[in-house]
Amino acid sequence: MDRPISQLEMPSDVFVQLVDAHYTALYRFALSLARREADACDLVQQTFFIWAKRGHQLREDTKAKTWLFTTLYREFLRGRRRDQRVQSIEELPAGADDVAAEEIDHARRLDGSQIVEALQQVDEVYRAPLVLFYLQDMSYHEIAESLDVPIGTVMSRLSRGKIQLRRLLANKETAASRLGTVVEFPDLKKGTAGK
Amino acid sequence: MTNDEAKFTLQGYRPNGSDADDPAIAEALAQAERDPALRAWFEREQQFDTAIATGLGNVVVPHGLRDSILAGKKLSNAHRPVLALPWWAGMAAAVALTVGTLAVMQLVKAPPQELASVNSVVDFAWTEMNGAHPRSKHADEYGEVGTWLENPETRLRNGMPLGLQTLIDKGCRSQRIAGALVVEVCFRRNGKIFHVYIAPRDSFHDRGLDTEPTFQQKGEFVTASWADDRFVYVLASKHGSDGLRAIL
Repeated sequence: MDRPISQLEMPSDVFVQLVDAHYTALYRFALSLARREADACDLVQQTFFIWAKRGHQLREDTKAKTWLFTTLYREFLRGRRRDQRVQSIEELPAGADDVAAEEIDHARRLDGSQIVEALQQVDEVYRAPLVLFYLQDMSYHEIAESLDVPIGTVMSRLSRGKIQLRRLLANKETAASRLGTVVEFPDLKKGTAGK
Repeated sequence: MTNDEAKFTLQGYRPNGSDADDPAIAEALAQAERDPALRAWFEREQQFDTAIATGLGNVVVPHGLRDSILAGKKLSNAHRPVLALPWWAGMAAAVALTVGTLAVMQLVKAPPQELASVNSVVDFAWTEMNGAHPRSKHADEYGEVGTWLENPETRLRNGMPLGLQTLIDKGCRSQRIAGALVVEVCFRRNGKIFHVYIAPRDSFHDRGLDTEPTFQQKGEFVTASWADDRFVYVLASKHGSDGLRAIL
């Protein structure tokens, strides 16, 4: 099963299989990081471009998935704006809030674009592990390997990232409900209008 | 394992159940089975996580991305062999590349003030064709990009298989036109010189963008402009609209 890709000299069918297996998840990961569709497409293409040139040096094709996500994340970090705010873990609230029933209902009503929009607002340090977790393609061990951080750090960032995501969704829900609030028209018969 | 430790571990349990066999997670799951409060917490976490994972899994991938990736791989297979250079030449090239990349990153990252129009790129192309075009590299110096552009079989309307950053990294000229980052590649096809200007579609007003090419002529120069899902293109030459159509 674990064939060395170097022996295969990257035939087209191997590359196509690799693309078909991972490009969808890579795009969703890239979109959550980069926020714009064009930038996400660039990141995915650049990742496979690098793979085509260097990735076949990997000894095991089971490592390909981790390599692709790692490379995409590094390409994103390389190109992102210098002045982007990166909040440290210490600044964020500790502890695990329990999920309320209405938060679950709200999350179920959201479509894909609304969920990506919310994930894009999660602080960058939590966003990458959180999106990799929700893509469900990687175990927490693989996420740690991809992002080159200890497993405990991944778990901590997942915990805090989920809290932040829930708060973001709750704030959006509150804002949306305010927009839809019906304001009662003043009762002129009883009121003092005009006095 | 305490309940807090179990909660910490279960944060990494994917809602599709893939981690059930992981020893640490299995221990936490067993703890949740024994403790009703922990089980209730875990069920709510899983419901929330399932909703988010399902929504993320429904995000549609742009049409044409897969084909672009596969086309890009074909180009990378056609790369030129690396020439043997003395160590100082390699160092100099690395420094130049770093400086160039930093400059380019500034260009790429500076946000456009307002959306551009295709005609601003067309006007720019005309100005360049009339003598303002600086001496620059041609596609045959860009490796696989040049191989792709100068291949008689390549049709530009099939889409650009590489990203703009890749083109810039390869040394293609770039500038901001009406706020949009535009990359230019000069290339030859059957002995004739063409110039193609490529820019991100989302830097442009939607009006005037069409997948069908629009031809404009000024003097001896003709331009064809069109857009696909990702980019806006302006192709310019002095070989008439038929010359342009032959490679579109």
